[in-house]
Amino acid sequence: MNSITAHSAAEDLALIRSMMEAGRQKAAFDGAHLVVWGAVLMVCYFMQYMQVFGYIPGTPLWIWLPAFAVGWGFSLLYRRGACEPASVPNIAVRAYNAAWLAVGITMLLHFGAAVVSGVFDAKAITVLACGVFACAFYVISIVTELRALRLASVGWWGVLVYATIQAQYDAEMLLVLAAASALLVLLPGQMMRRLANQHNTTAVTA
Amino acid sequence: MTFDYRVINDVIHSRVRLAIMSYLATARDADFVEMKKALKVSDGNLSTHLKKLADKAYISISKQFVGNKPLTRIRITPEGEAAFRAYVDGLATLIEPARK
Repeated sequence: MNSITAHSAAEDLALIRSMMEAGRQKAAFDGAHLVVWGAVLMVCYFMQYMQVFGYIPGTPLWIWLPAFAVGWGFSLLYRRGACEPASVPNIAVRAYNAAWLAVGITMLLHFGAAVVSGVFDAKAITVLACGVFACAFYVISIVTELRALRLASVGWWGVLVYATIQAQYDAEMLLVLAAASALLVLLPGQMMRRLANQHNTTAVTA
Repeated sequence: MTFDYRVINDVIHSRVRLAIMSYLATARDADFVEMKKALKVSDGNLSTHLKKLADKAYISISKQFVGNKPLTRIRITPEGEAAFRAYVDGLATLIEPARK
């Protein structure tokens, strides 16, 4: 026969809360995407800034093409399950993957079209990138119910507004984007990974 | 204070099974390895509890192969979701008067 007291009910509710949170944050395992892309973007923007002042030779393409190869290579390997061979994507992970795949395709198409046509508008690509990043973070924050990720989307919308109102689009914007990549992509990714590791340290006893 | 035991679902009222149902309530589906990691329980223990939940049709278990590796996939069913919700509501009604 079950005998349940308010105290044990409170303990059960605490367990329920923590396990539901763990279930929601399954997408946290994919924080590795954000860490890699955040680092890649940060380095690329900074290198491009250095290039503007002549510290690095070549054109921006020499920086961005290898960066895209690294980022996409990692993403494709990760999607194929190279990092989590036994995991089955749930709805949160699928939404997460779909959101970032859509971001990747959008940016790749824009970048490719700009390179092929020779019409490269730095401001347009920045505003587009900020917008799609903000949307992706917003979708993920809803799906995973990780409120901190909403800050990242707000941050990207802030950068979008800042980039839009710049009358003169100069090299300093590259520094702003390098900082934004670190704070609004790499950092949230690291936070998601830390959350995922926290969940793996809690044992449930019968 | 004690509670009317008849409103407590015996199948869900075990720490491990409760944890499984709570996890699946939000994750919707999971594989065996992932579930084992999340709950930090042994294979045998997890299998036993999963079987009890599956016998009541609260979860569905399917086995497939990914590459050469067997994969056990666990999903919460609508019945399981309803039972879990009723269980949580029952706990909440118990805690509410105790807080007053």
